[in-house]
Amino acid sequence: MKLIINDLQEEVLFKLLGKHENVIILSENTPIHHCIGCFGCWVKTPAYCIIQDSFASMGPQIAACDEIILISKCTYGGYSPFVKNVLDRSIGYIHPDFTIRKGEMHHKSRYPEQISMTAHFYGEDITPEEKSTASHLVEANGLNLNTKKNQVFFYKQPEEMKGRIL
Amino acid sequence: MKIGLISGSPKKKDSASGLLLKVLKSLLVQKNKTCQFEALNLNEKGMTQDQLTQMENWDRIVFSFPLYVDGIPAHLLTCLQEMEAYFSSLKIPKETMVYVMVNCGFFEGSQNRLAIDMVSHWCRRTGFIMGQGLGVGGGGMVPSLEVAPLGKGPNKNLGRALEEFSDAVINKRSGPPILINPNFPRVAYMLAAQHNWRSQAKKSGLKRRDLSRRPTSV
Repeated sequence: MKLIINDLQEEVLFKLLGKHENVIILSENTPIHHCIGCFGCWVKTPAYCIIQDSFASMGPQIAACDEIILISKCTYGGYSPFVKNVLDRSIGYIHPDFTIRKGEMHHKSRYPEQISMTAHFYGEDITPEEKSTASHLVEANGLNLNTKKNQVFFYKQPEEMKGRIL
Repeated sequence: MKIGLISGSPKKKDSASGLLLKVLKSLLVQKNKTCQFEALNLNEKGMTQDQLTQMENWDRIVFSFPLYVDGIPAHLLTCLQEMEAYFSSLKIPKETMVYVMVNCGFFEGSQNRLAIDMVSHWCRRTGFIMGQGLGVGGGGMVPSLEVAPLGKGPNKNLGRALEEFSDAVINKRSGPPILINPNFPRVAYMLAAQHNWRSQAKKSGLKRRDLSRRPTSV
């Protein structure tokens, strides 16, 4: 199973994907509340967010997948607000306790299986500095989520992703 | 000089971001008694027209926010986009300097570097001038500022960093990010944080092993 978190219009995404199966798609047309920093997903309802909207089960949902695919307008060298919002609401996927990876403090994994992460950033005028930040961001996210593999791609237009997402 | 202090914490009170702004403000007043301050708490997605208009009068902006998934919290990112749309269309040359403090629960202040860089990229698109970033590691210890003196003990590095940072704000100076760790053993910090999770879980009626649940139900 693959999980696509994206900020495209649904019809645009479906054109880019073509026929697809075993894919969960999270799109901006579903209302999402922002993370309130309560850590309830660690100390009250482990793995689940306490906010009862369509994004309360991101932890188990990510664990059920073998790859997260992020499709986002590159925004100041990071994700756009919706994609970032979903990631902010997903920290129940990891464990509150800490470990050291590559000499830095990070969270332990909650689930034993490792996933892959691929980020597709699009934007007409992404600067080289923003590209560099975005590449480092995916690497840092991968380290925190303890992924087995990360990939980053940049495009000027979303249409260029056709046939390259799945 | 009019300095705008923006907390980007989603918490309405008792946030580390808010406390850092409070300490910074006292240092700024010590350095220049004529400083005027205005404060905004951006804890929701989006801004009002009044807030954007208010910001027009600031010649320095200081953001303070927690690191979320290696970056800027999503609700604040929405606000930054609205600021970009508003200020980049004003077409008035602005000399507004931007300073940012990012705090994270991880020990290493260096983990805030990417979020500081993102604010720098935002400045370029918005037409503001990036001043300096301060990345505070060990954010879990920031509340100790209420009891432990700044510049001493575990807050030694933080004290020095805030001194340099406040100086940059007053003098409209730009500089490379200051990235600091607490003066406290990392292993002790990790153990204290983990003890804290267990205490909070207990208050919610959970057992220690519950923290490691691996639910599969979506």
